[in-house]
Amino acid sequence: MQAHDGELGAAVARAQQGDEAAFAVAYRIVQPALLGYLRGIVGDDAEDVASDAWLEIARDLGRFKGDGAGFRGWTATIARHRALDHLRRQRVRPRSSALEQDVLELPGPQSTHEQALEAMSTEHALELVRGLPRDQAEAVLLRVVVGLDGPAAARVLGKRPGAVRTAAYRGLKRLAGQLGAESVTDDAPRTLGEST
Amino acid sequence: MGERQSDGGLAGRASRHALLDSEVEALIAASLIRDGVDAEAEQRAVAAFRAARDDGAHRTRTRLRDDWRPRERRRYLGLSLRTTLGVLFASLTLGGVAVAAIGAAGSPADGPDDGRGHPPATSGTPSDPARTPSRGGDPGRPSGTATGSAPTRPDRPAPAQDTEAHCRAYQQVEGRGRAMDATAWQRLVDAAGGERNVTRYCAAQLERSTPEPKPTQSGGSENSGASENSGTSGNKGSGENNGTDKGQDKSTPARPNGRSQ
Repeated sequence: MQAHDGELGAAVARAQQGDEAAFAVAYRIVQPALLGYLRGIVGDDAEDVASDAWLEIARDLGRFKGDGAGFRGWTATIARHRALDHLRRQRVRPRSSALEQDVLELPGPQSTHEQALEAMSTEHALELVRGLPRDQAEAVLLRVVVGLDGPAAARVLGKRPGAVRTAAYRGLKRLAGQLGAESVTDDAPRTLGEST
Repeated sequence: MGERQSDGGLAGRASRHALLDSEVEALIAASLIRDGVDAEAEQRAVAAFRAARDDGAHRTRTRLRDDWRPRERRRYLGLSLRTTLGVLFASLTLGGVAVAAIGAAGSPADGPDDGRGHPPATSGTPSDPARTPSRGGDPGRPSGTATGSAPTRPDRPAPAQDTEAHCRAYQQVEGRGRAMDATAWQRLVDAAGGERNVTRYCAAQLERSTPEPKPTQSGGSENSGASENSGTSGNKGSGENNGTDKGQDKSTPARPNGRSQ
């Protein structure tokens, strides 16, 4: 994903000049990773939170200064604030029922068996990541999914780089332990072979 | 991976089978990042962009949190133990060198110091010229550093020597830690007329302060021993414009010669 940083930086610069198509390019480069990060924090509400975040990104684009990598960090910061707002609201309001969400998540009839498996493994990875302590989960997501470097991830989280490095390290170790355990017990050889 | 699993079949559990970090990273990234974007969501974002652009919202000021240029990030990195140690080391070095300069200046330079310790005639010179960066660059103007504030504090080494010491320290600690925080360093920056000028300023200072063989031999040979004498004591004997004010009683005619060669 960092491979796109040059292209992303150029697109952002053009968008700041008012180029609508360039903004769409930046959106397409950033959105998948941003959505992955948000899934790790707010789960199935990620799409909604991402939409909110993009409204703010579109509005404040003129304020941003930096290159492609900087844009990832800046957008991740905005998305994170929207996600935390969302979680705060959720705490006040009762959550929508889990059952309803499960129904929506069911693979449609056109899904092949393979697609269903992939969907399951995404859900499963998500479950594992969300099972981590929040600081570890966020550090892992920002580093691995969004592709930020240590200092940038630290800035997004408002923490010291050392603390974030440690959190990412512990999170990965924990995930490695869990995934490793599964690779022995269940069908994991196949799963791992497919995904790596 | 295969051998790890065959291992696992025998021995069993999680601790034996922790995956490599890179494997976990790849798995997580592959699982959570779905390629492609929802066209409708993209349209909404682009519409928001268009609206903001047409409202002129994009001509707004950059706040600190919007500035993601690399320099900022590097500074963020610096909040570490290394920084603290760097500042401590720099202040120790600056202090030590300054003390050493006092000792060095005290003994051999007694003669010239006398001549120089009281130029009360020039004490009226404002000390401001010392702060101008062009101090060494303009030979026609009398330099104020040595004379501007020296009489007010006879017990301290002349500021020029201070400066020199700081310049030496600067060369030593350059690139290590953040010497910028030391008070002495701030004084040096003031004297140089800005951080950017420090290197050039120090180069001029140190060049002036080291005894230059050429002017001393050619210009100073016709001259009395006074100029060589002062040449040993740091910046005082240097062939440059320091001589204009304090050297008048000693070797005025020799200086311009020495400089012109």
